[in-house]
Amino acid sequence: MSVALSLRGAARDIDWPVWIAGALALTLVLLALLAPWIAPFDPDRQSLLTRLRPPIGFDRADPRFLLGTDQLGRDLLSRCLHGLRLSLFLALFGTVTGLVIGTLLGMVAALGGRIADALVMGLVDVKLSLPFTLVALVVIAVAGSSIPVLILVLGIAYWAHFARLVRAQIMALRALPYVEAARSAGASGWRMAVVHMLPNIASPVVVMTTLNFSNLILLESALSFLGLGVQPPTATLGSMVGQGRDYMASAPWIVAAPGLLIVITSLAVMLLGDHLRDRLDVRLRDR
Amino acid sequence: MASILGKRLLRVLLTLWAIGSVVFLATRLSGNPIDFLMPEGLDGASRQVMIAYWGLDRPLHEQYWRFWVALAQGDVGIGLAERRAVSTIFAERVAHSASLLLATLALTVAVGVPAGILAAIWRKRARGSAILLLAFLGYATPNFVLGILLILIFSFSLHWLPSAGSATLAHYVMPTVTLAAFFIASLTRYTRNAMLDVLSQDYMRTARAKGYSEGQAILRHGLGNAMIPVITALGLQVTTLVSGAVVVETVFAWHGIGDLLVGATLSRDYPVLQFGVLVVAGAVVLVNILVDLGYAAIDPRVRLAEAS
Repeated sequence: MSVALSLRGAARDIDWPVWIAGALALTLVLLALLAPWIAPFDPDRQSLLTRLRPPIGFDRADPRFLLGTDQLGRDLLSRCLHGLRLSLFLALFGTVTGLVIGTLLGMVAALGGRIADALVMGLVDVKLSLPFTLVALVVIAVAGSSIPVLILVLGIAYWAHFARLVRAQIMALRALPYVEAARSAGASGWRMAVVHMLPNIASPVVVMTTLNFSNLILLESALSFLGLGVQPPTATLGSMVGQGRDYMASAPWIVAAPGLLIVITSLAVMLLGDHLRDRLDVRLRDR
Repeated sequence: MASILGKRLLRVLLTLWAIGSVVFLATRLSGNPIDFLMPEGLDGASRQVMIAYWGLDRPLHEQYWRFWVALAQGDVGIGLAERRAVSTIFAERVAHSASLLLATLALTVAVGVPAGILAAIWRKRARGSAILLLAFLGYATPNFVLGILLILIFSFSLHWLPSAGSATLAHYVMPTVTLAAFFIASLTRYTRNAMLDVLSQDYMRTARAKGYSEGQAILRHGLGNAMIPVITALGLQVTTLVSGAVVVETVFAWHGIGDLLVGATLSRDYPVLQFGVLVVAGAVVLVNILVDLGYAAIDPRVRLAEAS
């Protein structure tokens, strides 16, 4: 086969949407990480003289503000970058919190005997039968809204999914010969779980983590939109949309910029998550 | 059938008891709600009167007991913000929420199922991919962003539809579409997958061999078999639907329960929040049971598995 032909073959094999999503996600993460250095202004700096300026290209635009300014004269580009940074940060820590709580409880359910199993799974059932927004409302009404509370709320959004997955995976592993071998070699229950089992259930857990991350980006933005997330003047993308709502008729760019950024972010992460699931989850390979 | 129902009911009661207890404890542990609701600088005597009025000075176990007794007697308290009976506040709003949910459900099924079937039939064509792409967009766009986009276009630019409120039929259009978008997207994906499974089954080949056209085969033999997993998926979405409704009601200032509960959270109106959480959770759990019983009625395999 000639070189040109095999190259064409390789180009066909590459999944273009996934590459675009990957490049997009990488760009977004870099923008978020570098926000304090690349943002042209302090995101909270107000200036009444430059209120409600539209993005560049429209009438009355101020060339210093690429995406325009909001009702308090704050630079929207800077706020979007910092908002993206905080949104990704919250979603990341929320995902890790859910992962840790869920994995621990899943292990307890699988290895801790019948009573522990019944208790944990009962809790999982209760959790799954409740709309998440209700749980979030109660927690935030009681504990107030701060970044740690928000991370906890996002963490409890999906712990039950992790718990069920980890429990089922460990139950399936328990019967396998190598686990039997480790047990007969005298490994304790927890040592076996951590050293011999966890690495072997990593791949479905990784897939679920990615999918949860994109869900949490959406959840966090919804909570912030409702005014239940981080408190002003600090902004995440969702709260920028929520607070810009009152100016929507006269200054639609205030909600449009963060709104589009949320959609782009969640699209990129979801595409990657779907791709990862198709690659790693054997059951779905022929779809 | 009866034993399944009994077991399920017991679990519902346990679930509701757990939820009620958690909400009760959480709201009592977080400090005195009076402090959030009364104007600052309230004098000590009035504060004591308010605390005594709402029974907040009694020991916790007594409050807990009275909470359930009052609930059983149908007395759900007085909203701290509106100063009216919580039951009246809810009665005014429940129909708005229920009708929004039903309209959403109808739209979801009316669009999602045909779209999924078409996507499965056209799986190797651009049209099929276009449906999937749309579904993916609907899946990834948060409902409040979609809602605001619709308001910008149809209310502020075109002046076709009202942007807030729930008075007329025109008010229903945007909230219903906004709330349904995600569920249409997910139902389309489920239906497509279920349909693809069915299309490769032997009985479909037999139907085609008997001389049915592809369309007849799908309608007579494919659809019914594909719908069982689809109904399951739809049933599992009830909690997500309610979660979404809370957000969408806020976007469109819809006079429903979700809008009420968000307001109650922001103002720490505990009586409203407490009752609202119990009512909504109860309704969701009940719907889930109905869905489960629905399977048992439709699908004999489920009935037999449950009995054993």
